[in-house]
Amino acid sequence: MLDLSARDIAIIGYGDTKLARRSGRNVAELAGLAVKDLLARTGIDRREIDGFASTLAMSEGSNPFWTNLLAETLDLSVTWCQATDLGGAAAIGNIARAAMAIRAGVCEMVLCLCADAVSTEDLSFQRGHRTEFYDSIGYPGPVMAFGLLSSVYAERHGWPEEALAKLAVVQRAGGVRNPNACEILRTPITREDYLSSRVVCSPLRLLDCVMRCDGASAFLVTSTRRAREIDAVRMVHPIAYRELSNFDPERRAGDITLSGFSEIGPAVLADAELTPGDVGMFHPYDDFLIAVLLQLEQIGFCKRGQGGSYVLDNELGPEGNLPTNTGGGQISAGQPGLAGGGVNLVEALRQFFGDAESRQVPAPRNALLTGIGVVQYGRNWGCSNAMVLEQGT
Amino acid sequence: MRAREIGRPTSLTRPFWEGVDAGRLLLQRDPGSGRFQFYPKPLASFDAAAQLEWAEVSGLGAVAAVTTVHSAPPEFADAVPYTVALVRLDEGAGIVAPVIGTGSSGARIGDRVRFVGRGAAGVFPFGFALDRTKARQE
Repeated sequence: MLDLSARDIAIIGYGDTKLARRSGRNVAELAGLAVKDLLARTGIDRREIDGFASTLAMSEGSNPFWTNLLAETLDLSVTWCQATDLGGAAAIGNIARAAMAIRAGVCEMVLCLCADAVSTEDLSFQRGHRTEFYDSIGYPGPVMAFGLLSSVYAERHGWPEEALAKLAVVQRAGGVRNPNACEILRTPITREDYLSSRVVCSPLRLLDCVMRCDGASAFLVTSTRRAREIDAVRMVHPIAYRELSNFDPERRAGDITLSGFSEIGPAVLADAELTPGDVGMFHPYDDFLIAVLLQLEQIGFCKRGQGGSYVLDNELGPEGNLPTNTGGGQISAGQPGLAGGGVNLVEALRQFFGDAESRQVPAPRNALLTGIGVVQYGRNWGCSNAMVLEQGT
Repeated sequence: MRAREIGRPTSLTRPFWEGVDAGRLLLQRDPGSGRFQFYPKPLASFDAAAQLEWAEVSGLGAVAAVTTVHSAPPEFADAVPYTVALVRLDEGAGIVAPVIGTGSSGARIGDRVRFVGRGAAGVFPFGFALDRTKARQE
């Protein structure tokens, strides 16, 4: 495990672009806009950045020199580079990797970037079981894999349609109040809209799923010592982090609904010395609404099969007892491809920094963030990770 | 334009596809434990030192998870709706494949199915057919 309890690492700023469906923009342009926003908000000189971690971009295909190309294009000169291929888990994965690089002394001011223009151009190509055994049988995308695991959840626990409808409506209300959400998602929806949306891969409906878009977000990670030296106005500490790729390879659990969160979820809260009831905000990775319920159950907010009742019994809006994906999440802000994890992360930071305007959570003290990456063959998702952030002083 | 190369066999997977062409289901087996695995991998899933071999299985199994696809990629647009299942083979391995001929009624978890190879699975290279007779006999 990565012990972050010393609170010696700080995120001192964020920047982002508005999310847009088919923006027509190149991913480097989006990256540049997010970095410009980050530098303007923090007042940091670009020349102070000496470390750089990025997610990959589906719009760039398999560019083998991705972080070096971006460093050159953004005129960054760095002593540590990292491209992280954890899909939706890469955003907080890079914050953790930046912390390790800073601890190792190889850099001290790290730019963590998430940028993708996948809805304008998708050049991604995954060999292995994806093209050979999924594309050949009519694989329409991750929605099929989530349809499969949802059928098992439904068989075992009943399909929690009312809870999913509530979550869809609550997150959409966040998207409506988030000026950086995709404009076409900024229309309120009702329970009936959810329940009457068309089935894409049974039992999943259109409003269970994310919509791909284009966008970028950027974060500055440094040591708490350095943050104090430069009088950083705001800082948030990552205080716990866990990550697990390829949960249960020997199929001991043999359960398609079970993910790595069943191991790392309870562990990350224990690392942070929190119980689920202590969590001030929840910003779960939400490629599909059912993934949020599975995470609530497997992290330990409720028992297995009770994610639906948990959602119905709790208030998830900004003023609620568990403010959840207050900016709409990806479901109601948009999923900028492999940069998707940045949507949840940037919203958490907006809340901590008091920048969330009409959707502001009153005085958030901590937040639990998660990431989900990669679809496995006939199983669950491949990477589960979780980070606890705490308001700095 | 999205780059795709659908279902091209590799040195690791060729015996599976040759089986599909012959209407037979061949999987990797660890001869020590007798356990089958799919998709084809360079190492055995349960014992990394095992020397994997290819062997034919019965092709019989049961639906373990199922979804009906209403929104398909362009190559399969004419086939919608079609049903895709995770089938747990009687020999233990799991394989994801279309359940042929179910129309919009789909299939249910627990349904017995039987493997069909190329030519018997419509637009798909392979699939499973519902084996309801078998289910009644049991």
